Amino acid sequence: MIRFLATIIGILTAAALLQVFQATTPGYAQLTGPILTSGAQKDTVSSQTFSVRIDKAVQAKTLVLKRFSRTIERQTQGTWLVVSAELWAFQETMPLAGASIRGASGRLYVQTHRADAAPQLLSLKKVQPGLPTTGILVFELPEEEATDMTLILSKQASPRLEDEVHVHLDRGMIESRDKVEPGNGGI
Amino acid sequence: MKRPNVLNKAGKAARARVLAGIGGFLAAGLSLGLSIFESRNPGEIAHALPGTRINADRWGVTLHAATVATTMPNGSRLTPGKRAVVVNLTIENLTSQSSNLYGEALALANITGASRPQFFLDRDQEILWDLQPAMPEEVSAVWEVPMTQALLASLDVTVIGAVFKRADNLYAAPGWFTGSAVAQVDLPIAENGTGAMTRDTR
Repeated sequence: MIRFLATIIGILTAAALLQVFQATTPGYAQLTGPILTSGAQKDTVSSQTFSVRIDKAVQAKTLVLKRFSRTIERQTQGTWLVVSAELWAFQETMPLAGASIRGASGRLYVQTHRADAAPQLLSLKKVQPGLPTTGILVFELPEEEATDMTLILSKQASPRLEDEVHVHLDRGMIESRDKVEPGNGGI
Repeated sequence: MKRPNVLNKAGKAARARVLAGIGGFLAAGLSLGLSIFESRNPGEIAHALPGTRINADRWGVTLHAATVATTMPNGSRLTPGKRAVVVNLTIENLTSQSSNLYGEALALANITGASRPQFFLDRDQEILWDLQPAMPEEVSAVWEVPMTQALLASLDVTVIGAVFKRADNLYAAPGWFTGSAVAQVDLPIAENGTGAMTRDTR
């Protein structure tokens, strides 16, 4: 009888232990997620493979672009955020496919294609090691999300076991304008 | 005395295995039959009126009007031999991330041979790329339809929902998957030009 009880208790304990293990094991997506490096806007934020320095961040209601030498204006119901940054690659040539803003609510705003006519877009450039590359990133997001923003950059659109740099944008360092016109010399 | 006992035991074990096998096959058959029955007899889809907001899990959709046009909203030409069915709608991304998969949310039920829809932002008549979360936009969805396809007086638009899985079956990663139809809207088709007027009066 005692042996029977001991067996039952042993099985139950083992089951409970396995349940705990299963519940506390991080998921595959989490285990193979990005490798984070965080920093502030005023600093150069360096990961193992690349580093970022924010040059300027401008918020505006209207985005002025030149397409086929014709000037066009793009409005938004929210706000445009244009960030100019300098990137260094350490080991190998890299694109910058992943660029997004995490807003105040935690929502993720991927860089917009609506500004594809803008010059100097970082998403269209390649960063060569040893050659610092400057360019801009354009985002569209609601005003209320712009109160607390984090810029998230990576080599791939959804990095797996690759570096991802988070730069917290300082509200006091974001310029506010009526119109922003990205040019060849930046913003 | 021992021999029949052993045989008896072996027989019992075999019978238990056979029973378990039959039970398993029964369960599998029942589940298969149920899923076949469900896919053959889809439940009634709720009908919604134009102008009402439909919550399609991933997207908030409000259908306004339908028109037939001979060019794309941005002025570009259509494929020769085709005309465009344009649906004006307001669409909002209800998820936490920018996405351009809103095309999966709409389907034309009473038109065959329609292309995948192209979306244009009404504000500047340009291609709508990613739909940003919490930013509802007025857009035009355009389907190219062969000229030979007869159009009825109204367009049956099905709004398709999505299912969020916290952990998918392959990578245990969170993601959205195509769901079932959540609503059907009968949009009267106006001739080209009158669609814009319907939009102003809504």
